[in-house]
Amino acid sequence: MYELTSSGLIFVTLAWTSVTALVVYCFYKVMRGNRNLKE
Amino acid sequence: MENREQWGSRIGLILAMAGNAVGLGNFLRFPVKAAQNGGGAFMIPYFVAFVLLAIPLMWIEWSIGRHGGKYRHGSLPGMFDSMWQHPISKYLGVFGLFVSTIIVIYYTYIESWTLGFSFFSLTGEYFGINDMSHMKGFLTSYQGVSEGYFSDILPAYIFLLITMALNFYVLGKGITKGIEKFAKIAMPLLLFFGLFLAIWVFTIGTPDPAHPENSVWSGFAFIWNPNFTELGNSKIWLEAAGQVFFTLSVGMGTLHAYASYLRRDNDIALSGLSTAALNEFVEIVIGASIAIPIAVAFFGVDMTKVIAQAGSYDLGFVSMPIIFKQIPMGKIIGFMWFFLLFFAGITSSVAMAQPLISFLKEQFNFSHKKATIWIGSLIFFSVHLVVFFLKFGFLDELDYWAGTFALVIVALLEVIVFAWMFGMDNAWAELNHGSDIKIPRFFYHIIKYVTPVYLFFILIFWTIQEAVPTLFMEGVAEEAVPYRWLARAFMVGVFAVLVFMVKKAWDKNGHLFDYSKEKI
Repeated sequence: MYELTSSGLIFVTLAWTSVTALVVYCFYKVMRGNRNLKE
Repeated sequence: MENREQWGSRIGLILAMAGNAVGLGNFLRFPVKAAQNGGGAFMIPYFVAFVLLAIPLMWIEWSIGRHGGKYRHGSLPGMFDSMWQHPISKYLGVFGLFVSTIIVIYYTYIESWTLGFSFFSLTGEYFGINDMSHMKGFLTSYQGVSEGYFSDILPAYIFLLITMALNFYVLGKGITKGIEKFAKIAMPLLLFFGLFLAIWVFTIGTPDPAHPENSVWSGFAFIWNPNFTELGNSKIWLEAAGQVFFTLSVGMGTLHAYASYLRRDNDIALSGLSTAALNEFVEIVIGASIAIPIAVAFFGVDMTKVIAQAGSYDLGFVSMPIIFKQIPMGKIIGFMWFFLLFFAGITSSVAMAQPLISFLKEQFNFSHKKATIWIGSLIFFSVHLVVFFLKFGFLDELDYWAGTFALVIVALLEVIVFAWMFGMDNAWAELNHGSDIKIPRFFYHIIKYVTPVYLFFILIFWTIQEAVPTLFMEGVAEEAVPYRWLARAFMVGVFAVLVFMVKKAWDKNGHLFDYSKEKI
């Protein structure tokens, strides 16, 4: 039987957190530094 | 000559670029690859490839595109020519035009299946089918590959026509009023549908209490539990690099085409990174949370392994419909799943047609309308080969050579032209011009040395492992061999026509600009 192990949980948490953080960081910077294209 | 269009808003540009990158692979290919190659441990080579390969290539393509746009070039022949004034450079750029042209021909057909299945989900067309083999029969009958549920290929053909009409309606409107406007509607809807389905999957839990081992959590365990012994296997490093490569739509000439409609001082570093980040979010958070976990919950791990081995299409078009008929609101959920795939597909296919449209407009002075009609007609006539010879592997042949192997060649060519022929100092200045973020200096060296070497090794390994057996048609049924050769002749023909057109364009126009007069 497959059960989510602690290492599996760590991997999924790390992967999800890191890409979500990257998206939030990028779009925060995009919205904040919107000096290029007219918005 | 028409004034060159430009993107109307930055968020529209990022959504269009992300729409280009987000495709069927995010929802179908990634979870299958992760589950097959070490589970959570797959993410280690995946993130390594993301940093060393994907982000650099993303920036390279945006930079080449914006630089080319400065000289009114929206396709790779002109872009390469503007960076490296050597007689051969424009012909190397033909690879980019070739890849996007071939892929859009067959991709449009695959995309139309998702539209067809969205409709069938709403009408419950396949809801009377109870097992996988019959559902597979439903799919192949729809495709005209086998007889059974559909008396002829007319339904598939009608959905293909609708898909093509939608694609060329969007393309015909141009960059701002067509692609950008569409991306601003389609991408938020795609994200909404994707997040809704991912959250819904969590509510499924254990659908059959008699089989507590079959649960959504077992599905997550199947994808994410790491098998570290796999890390010593070179195959998973190659698979991870391949997945990262395909998911971002690099090596197709499409990101360049979109970036060419930027203004000279527009940022590319942050926008490129945002595009990559959004694509990864859709892939890792949403894509990995739908098809495989739900397949494990309903069929168990062993059966899901079999489904995954059979390929992404079986997962998306065969196993998922079986599940939809067993759940409450299955028609709506099924519609959302296939329409999600349709949005992922159409935002990519419009991007693939764009380089050729730009090429005709810029090198042969076609109006936008005329270029769109010409490309639409070319794709319409060519797609018939894919539709009618599907069962003989015509699509698979195009997909391997143009949609897989040639992508690595284009990526390798572009990194060499950008970092070595254009010069890494020029390249770095181009990338950082107008930048809203400070790119760490180590990417200078990654782009110059690591990315090309990485790509070179991928190319060598793939040539040995896959290209040689595919070239000699190992495992291909005898009756399919002539059609596979026809597919190859078709690709050679398209490539030759593109080379001829580039030659004619440069004979007529020469360089559209004196590149030496305008330095960075």
